[in-house]
Amino acid sequence: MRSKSVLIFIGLYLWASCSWAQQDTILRAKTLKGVRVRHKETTTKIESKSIQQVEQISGKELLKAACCNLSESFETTPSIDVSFTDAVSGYKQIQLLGLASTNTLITRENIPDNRGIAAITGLSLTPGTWISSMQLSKGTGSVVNGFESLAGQLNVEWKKPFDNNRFYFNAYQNSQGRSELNAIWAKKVTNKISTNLLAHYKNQWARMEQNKDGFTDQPLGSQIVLSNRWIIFLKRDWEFQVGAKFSKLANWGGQMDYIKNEPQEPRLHWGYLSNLQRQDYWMKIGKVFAATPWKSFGIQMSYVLHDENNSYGLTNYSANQKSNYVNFIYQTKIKTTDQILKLGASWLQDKITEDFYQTFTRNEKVWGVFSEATLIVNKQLSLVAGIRLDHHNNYGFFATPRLHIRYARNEKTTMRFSAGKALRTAAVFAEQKAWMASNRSWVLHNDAQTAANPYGLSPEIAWNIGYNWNRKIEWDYRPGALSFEVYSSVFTNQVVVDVEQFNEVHLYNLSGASYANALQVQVDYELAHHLDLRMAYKFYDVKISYQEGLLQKPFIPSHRVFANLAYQTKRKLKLDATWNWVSAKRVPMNILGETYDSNPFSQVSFQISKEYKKQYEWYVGVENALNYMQPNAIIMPQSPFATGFDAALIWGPLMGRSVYAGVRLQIK
Amino acid sequence: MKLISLLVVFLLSALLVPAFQSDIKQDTIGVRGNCAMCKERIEEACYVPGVKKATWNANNQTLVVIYKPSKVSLQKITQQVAIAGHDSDSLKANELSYKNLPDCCTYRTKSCSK
Repeated sequence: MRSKSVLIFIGLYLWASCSWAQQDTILRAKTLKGVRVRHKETTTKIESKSIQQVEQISGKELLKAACCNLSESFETTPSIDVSFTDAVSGYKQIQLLGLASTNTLITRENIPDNRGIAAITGLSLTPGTWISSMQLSKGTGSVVNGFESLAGQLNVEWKKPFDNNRFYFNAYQNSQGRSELNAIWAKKVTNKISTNLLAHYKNQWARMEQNKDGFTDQPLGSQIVLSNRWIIFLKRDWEFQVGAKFSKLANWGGQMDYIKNEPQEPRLHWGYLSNLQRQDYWMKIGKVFAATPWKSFGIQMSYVLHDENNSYGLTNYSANQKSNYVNFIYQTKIKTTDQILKLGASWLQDKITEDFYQTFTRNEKVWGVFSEATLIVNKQLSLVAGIRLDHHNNYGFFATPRLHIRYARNEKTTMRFSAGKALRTAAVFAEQKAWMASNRSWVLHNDAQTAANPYGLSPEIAWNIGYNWNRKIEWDYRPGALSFEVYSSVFTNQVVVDVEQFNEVHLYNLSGASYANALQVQVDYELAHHLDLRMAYKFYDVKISYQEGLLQKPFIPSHRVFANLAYQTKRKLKLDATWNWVSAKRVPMNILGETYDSNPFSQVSFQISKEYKKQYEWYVGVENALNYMQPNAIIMPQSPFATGFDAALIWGPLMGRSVYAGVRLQIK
Repeated sequence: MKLISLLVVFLLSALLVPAFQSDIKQDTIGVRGNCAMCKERIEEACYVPGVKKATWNANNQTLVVIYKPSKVSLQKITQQVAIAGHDSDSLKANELSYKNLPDCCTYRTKSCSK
């Protein structure tokens, strides 16, 4: 009772004191307006001033990646691992610190995105060409953005309506029958009002079958994403933004003999069908006080409608999500501007219905208050300490503390430490969709089933601590950087996905240990003028207590080596080469009783691009140049309706060598 | 793994080479310009084979170059700067290359206040 009244008091205090809150993105965007981005700037860099470890991934870095949406934008970013989910849907998933992307909070200009059932599909609904930059922070993020981020936060900044490009156009084609068109129109209606319209169209029209298993490698179909947003600067430093995004996707694939919409029942051919529609709406209001610039407030709101229907052979899965989110942030100084305090309150509702053999409905309502202090102690030492208290309709009250410390030994060496807690409800079926591309039976250990929590599973709760060390170097008058980092995530509860039996998927609450340790060493160095080298080595130790005992998590490689060489000639011809080596991964048992470690493999890609007068640009490239594909990706491809068929034991590339070309056009 | 160790050796050797260099000279010359675009143009122009580093400072209108005298002369670097359209202490850029500069960079008339 006492704790409840304390909470209510804190809540009331926040409401009273915070008129509202500040909105980072708009403000940063505004100050960026007058800044010209210089071309000597490296395309990805660690912000040495920020207290959290933040990798700035610029738009230029994204141009190096072959293609095309958020899940495919990390080919030249060693921090993030990308892999196929299964051999039929064509989706790729990303991993950070050895943990699935669901453990990373993905935000669109600081508004949470891709939550809930969009865990796998959401990434492909953010076209790469819409992105102006990304900020990747590792370790538990800021409490301002919620309690979910465990492994990190990936903030995606879109192209702004007020930047100087009036029109942007991109066309892309690869040798595997994938075409894309992207266009962005921006208009400054007045000096204060600007809007942009963003459009994306993708079509996979060629039915590719490279690995001779009788299955279409990539589903056929098309995808459309449209967005419009308005940014308005009002008098007295008020800022206002409103936007909407619509996505529609229709894919089909499966066995080569399968015809679209052919009924699955006579069991003639195994087919894959997927239809998805999503609507995102958001609004932001912010104000900075001109006379006291440390004081600001902002409110951000979003509403999401997501609906999808899928069938994997005889297995049907459909899901629907309605989410709404409100976040107020008020920022002020404590005594001096070296002591900044953020206070705020948030509301989050997820109404999710999943139809998978039976109907599961959950309606989660979470309100919370938070406070975060940023203290710059001296030139060397600064820290961010935050705590939030949330109330969840199923889980009750819970606290989420987080701490980030930065110590800059001198101008060249920076050390950072972070620690924090995170909580998240796993959208188990949506996240584990890949296993629907198999004939496994699903076993839900729902001992704690209630009407409000039909899954009977507990929330995932985990702690993450991390340390990283960065040093700027200059060897032979050329700049470079060294970095070393270790992160450790320890779960106190986790929804364990157990696929150790060849014909079953078990979902149960963790009992025992579960952890993910990740180490990364990276060297960046300018070998010669305009010749940049980046090398990275990563080590993972990810283990989970299964019914069978403590085992290495399947499909996580122990080692990964990455190297990227980027060269620009005097005539601005850009050449880029990337090499990735991935060590063996543990593959769970298949029907043949085989348990084995996968083969280590290398992937190499090249790209050449040339820009003319900062207006036109063409690019050509090769992906998977060594043409390495996972052998026998599908288990029992000839009898997909029989026990043992499995298209989800995926550890390597499913698509062979691909040559692509594209053009970009920008009009100021 | 063989490939990896080869790469590591390659990188290490690249890093050790400078330790044995003595053929290095640093010079400071006055170069005129206006803005960030000028800075980029001036510095880019300097990077001919033999030049290690070029840094132009707008406030005191000076260019610091670090180069190998055995491979390139200061005169050659100054010429490169002039071809790019920028006057230096010892060499004036010709009218044609100066006229090619964007409006913001026409430092002789100071049309851009920066």
